[in-house]
Amino acid sequence: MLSTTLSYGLSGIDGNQITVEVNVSNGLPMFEIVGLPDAAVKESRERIRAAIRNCMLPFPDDRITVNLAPADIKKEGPAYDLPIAVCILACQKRVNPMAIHNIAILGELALDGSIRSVRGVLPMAISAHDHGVTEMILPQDNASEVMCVAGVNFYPAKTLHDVVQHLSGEKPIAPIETVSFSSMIQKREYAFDFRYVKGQRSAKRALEIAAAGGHNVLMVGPPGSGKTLMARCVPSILPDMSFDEALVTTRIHSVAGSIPETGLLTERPFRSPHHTASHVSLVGGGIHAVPGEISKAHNGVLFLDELPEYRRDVLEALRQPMEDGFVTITRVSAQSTYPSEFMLICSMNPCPCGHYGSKTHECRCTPNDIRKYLSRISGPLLDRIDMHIEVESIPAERLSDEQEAEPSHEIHARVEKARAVQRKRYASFSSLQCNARLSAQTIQRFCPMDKDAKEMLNLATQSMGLSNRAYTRVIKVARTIADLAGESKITAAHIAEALQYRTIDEKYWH
Amino acid sequence: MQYDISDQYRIWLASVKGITPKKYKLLMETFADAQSIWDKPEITKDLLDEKTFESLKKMRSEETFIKLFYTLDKSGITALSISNPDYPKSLLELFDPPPVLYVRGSIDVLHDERMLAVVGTRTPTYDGKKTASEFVKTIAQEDVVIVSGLARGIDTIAHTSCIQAGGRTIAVLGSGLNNMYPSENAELSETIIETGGAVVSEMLPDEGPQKWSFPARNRIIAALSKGVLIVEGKKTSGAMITASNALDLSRDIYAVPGSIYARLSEGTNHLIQNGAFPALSPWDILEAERWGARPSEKNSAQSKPVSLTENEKIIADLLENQPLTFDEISKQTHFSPSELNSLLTMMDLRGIIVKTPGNSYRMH
Repeated sequence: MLSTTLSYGLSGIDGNQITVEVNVSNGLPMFEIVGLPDAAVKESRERIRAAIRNCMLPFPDDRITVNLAPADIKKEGPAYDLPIAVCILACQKRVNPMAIHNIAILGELALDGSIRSVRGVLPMAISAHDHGVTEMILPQDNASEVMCVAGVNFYPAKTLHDVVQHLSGEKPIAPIETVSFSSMIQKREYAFDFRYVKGQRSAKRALEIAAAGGHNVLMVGPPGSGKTLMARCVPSILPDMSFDEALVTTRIHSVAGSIPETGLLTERPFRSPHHTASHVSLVGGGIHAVPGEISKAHNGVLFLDELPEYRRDVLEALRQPMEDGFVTITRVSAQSTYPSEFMLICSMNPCPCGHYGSKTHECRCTPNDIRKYLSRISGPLLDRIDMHIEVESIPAERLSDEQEAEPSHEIHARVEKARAVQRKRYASFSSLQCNARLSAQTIQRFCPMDKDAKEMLNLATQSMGLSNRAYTRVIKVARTIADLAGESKITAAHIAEALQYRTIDEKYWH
Repeated sequence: MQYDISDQYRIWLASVKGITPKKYKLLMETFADAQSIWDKPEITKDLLDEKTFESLKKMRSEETFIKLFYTLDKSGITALSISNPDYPKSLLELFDPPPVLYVRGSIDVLHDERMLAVVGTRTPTYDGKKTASEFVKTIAQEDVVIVSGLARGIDTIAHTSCIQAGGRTIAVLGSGLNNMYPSENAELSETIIETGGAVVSEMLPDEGPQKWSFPARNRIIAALSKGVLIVEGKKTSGAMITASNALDLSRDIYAVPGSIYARLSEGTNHLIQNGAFPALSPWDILEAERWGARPSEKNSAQSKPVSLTENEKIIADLLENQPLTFDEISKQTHFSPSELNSLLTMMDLRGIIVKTPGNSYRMH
């Protein structure tokens, strides 16, 4: 007796359809799984046997052969427990074989027959939808992940028994109600708000520009000046995620096994790996080529606090993904490509003791110490950071007399407006979403400057010794400043302001 | 460099470990020349302590002798013994003149009539840096040789500004000439030599810096010069040691006054209180030393008053009194951060203000 059903595996952030075929025939009792199963899949035999028996359901004392097709793709993880168990029951007519033929089933079984959650349900659900599957049984615990996927009926199940009752029609499970994306995004709430950052007007303005144009940012300032706090506030002013962006980001998180309770990530992710982070944890890798921090920060913020403390090779590994917007991880067993378009925010002290240039503390570092400290960050990496912001230390007595600052949602509104301008301008360019992604060629086209602006830029090139790279960075930032001001042409004032955000490399890096 | 034979013995004697300037002076007063000590080291037994005597006997070998002169030759160092006619006369005024002065670069410059020492803290303030560079540039243009210690901070600025103004400068090291300290100034020392200056030390070429060697070199800086200018320094700084050396040698002492709250002006203000000459402009020094006459007000190249826009004037007025950070300016004016940003950049580009680390702005 043969029965088949569908299930899903993961490849990168995409799901691939797996057909589960179970054949129960006469012969010596045996239970074999074929189709490149890994250890977790092979072990499912024991879980399935125990789960079926413990649910008081029949387990055949016959020859059981399970085939996971296509046979040339490696099958990983325990997600096939439930489909195999259901197929075995179908072979014994405990479940109608026709009822499971065209539905997808996912889930890990516990020995008592209850169903445990699995990793990566969202990408699998999306693929199922794309493949025209209309029904999917999945673990109750994963239900929240798929709430926003319309067009597929999802049946969350708690136990194997529930599934059997559902399929036989004795006690059908109610499908998950889909929630619209816009209603989810309404509930934006942030723990960190710029309202609570006192003073720091120049840094806040700079972060507003950075958020509006998606520019990478380096903050330099003495310890305790509020660099980390401000970085944490940035997600609150970033533009809202579109449904597609939210979906892709959630897929990545789903693959990595870290999904929020609400299911879909509606807030842009803020990732701040510790400075001891390894190459693999940042870029991605491991046996299963799982996504790293840079992919988890896709469409969000990657915050590297104390930049010079990171291992140099780890930082250098960021360069290529920053440029391409994706990263391909190749391992013996798998090759995966993950998107990695993030806004990089880094912070650092100006010198090892942290007080170089401070009004309140004396710096104890020798020029050599400072040079060594700064040389830990390579020029090429620095070149990919559009804006360098100097954060000043605020004496404690000045904190008390500062009035409450502008709340994040007001800044957010301006950022959103500037982004809308950019989206409209770059509508015909799929690879271009924000000013930060402008290339040398597209700058020519999209960044018209008036005469005064050109003159000012030339003057700055001469007196500040701007490098070619710095030159394009200034124009990109000026473009964003103009967008914030709602002007189509870049004027001298925009260029002048943009020049403020690169003075650091001449001051510290020489 | 050729040394005559009696000079060679003197240089050798001075290189013996434990022979301090004072002991050398004593030996020379007793025996008149170093060759007799080489011939018969025993004669010094009563004058030296046991350890020095032992080291003298140990160092009395052909090998050490040849090695010493080989090192000097190889590194292009001239050793001027105290009896050498080229030895700077001004050093003889010290009660413990260095028995041998090791020199790289020009010997002539050591005999210049016009010499001014410029010393100060290793961690100068913005104003200190500016003062040092402006003073030195003006003074060096009057053909005055600037003497300093090649340390970080004011010393380095004194040397570089002098070279920029086309002058000659002398660096007195607190370590051997082959053992540059601080190492980042090795390049500067080469420039000093190339531009007709000299780098000198009383220590053997390969000796490293010692705790005592820096105060010791300060006395050479003071002795070489006609006057000493102290730009900035705390009350207990090396610059103050140089000043007290200069006082012992009755050199002129010039100090740049500062705010009574500025820690780095503590030392100079204290000097002024005790009778040092307050240097308010480089011409104060040049005139006091009769090295040059102050240009009359009319002739002096008065910088043209730059025309400021209304907004620029608001900022200029604020910064006139003290440097302010972006936040402070923003609080005291009505400008939005974006307006202020572009305003400050434009003023920076026009050279009206400068931006300094810490996001702080001040008048140029």
